[in-house]
Amino acid sequence: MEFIIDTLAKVGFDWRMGLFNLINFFIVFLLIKRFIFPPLLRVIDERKKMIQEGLDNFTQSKTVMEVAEQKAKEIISQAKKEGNIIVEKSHDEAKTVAETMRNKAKEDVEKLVFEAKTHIKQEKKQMKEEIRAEAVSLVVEVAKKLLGNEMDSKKSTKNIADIIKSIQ
Amino acid sequence: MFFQVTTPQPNVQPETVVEFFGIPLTNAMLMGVLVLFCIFLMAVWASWFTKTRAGRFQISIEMLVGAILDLLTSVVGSRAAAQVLLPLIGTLFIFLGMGNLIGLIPGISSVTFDGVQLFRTATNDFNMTFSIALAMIIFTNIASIVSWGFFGHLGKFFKFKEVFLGFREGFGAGCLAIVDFFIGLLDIVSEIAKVISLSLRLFGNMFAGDVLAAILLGSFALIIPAPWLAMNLLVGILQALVFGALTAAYYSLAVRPSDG
Repeated sequence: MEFIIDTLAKVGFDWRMGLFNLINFFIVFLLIKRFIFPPLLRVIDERKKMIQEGLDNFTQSKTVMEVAEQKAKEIISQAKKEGNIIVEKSHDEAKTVAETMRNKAKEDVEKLVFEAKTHIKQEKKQMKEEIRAEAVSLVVEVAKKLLGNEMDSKKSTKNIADIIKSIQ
Repeated sequence: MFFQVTTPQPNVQPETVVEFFGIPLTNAMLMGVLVLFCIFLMAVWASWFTKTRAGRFQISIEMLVGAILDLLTSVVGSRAAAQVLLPLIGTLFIFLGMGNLIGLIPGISSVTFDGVQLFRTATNDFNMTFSIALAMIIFTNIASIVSWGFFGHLGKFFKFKEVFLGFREGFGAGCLAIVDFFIGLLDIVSEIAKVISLSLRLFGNMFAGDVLAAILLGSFALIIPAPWLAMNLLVGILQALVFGALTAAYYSLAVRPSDG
């Protein structure tokens, strides 16, 4: 031990100075441990927490955005599907309506044609009768003129009418 | 010559400025007090002016703390252990770093009191480096006792149990255990050697820096100062770093791996 102390003394070691330096170092240690590191570490931790919160918020927003995008895509896809169905349905309905209208128009036309034909037939019949009557009276008048009013007009009219009937 | 200035050769022992109750107050001790004062100002600043939105100075200090923490994590192997060690190793780094660097401020070594240089690089005093190195090795041994228990710690140096167990296993294993026993005894010497190597490394580097500065400035005063100061800055930071890293390494070797 004495050898160590002698050797240390030879290199200029003085335990009082050593102790002074050690106390100085210890005070520095207490200052740093108590007053420098805790506030610095607290601030570093707070900043780290803030950054982490920011990152978490970003991740959360990203997730929410992705979900919203997915939802929007689903809604758009659903809307497209529904739109397609509606368009198809309307096409079908239009086809049906067109078909119905076409049929109705056809029926109307047919009805009109039928009515017209009936009307024409009636008119034709009526005209025939009128012509016949006219012809009879004309023949009677001609016969009258030819026979000189000799014949009974009633009988001769009947005779002529029979003749015309037989001709027909 | 034109390039030469007269600079006094530094002594190994610091000069006594005044005696205080019979205790010599040396210029290196005064520098230590100056470092303490600077750290006190830093503590005041840290207590009152640290903010989440930091300025440049605060960011520099935070980067320094972060770098020390990263270094400690790589040395001791876990972040939790690094955070436990941070106050001590951080103090070592800051105190020794400032002690090494503050003497480089131009003009500070020219201040004299009663013809004696008032400030001398704090670590350029064997009393300082030896006392801190001794304290650190005592600390690592206390940490070892806390981690392994008193007898567990003694068992690292006196391996009687291993010799007994070795001979129970066989003659060969017993002989190996005896070799291991002597290695354990050598570890006691290694603990003393740690104190000497830690203290002399720092003191030797800083003293050599001062001696070399005196020689170089004596020969090439107008050319050398800037590069020499830059190199001294590097050496000062590096030596503080080496001292802190070695203490951390000794600590991690002393405690159980699960505690480290």
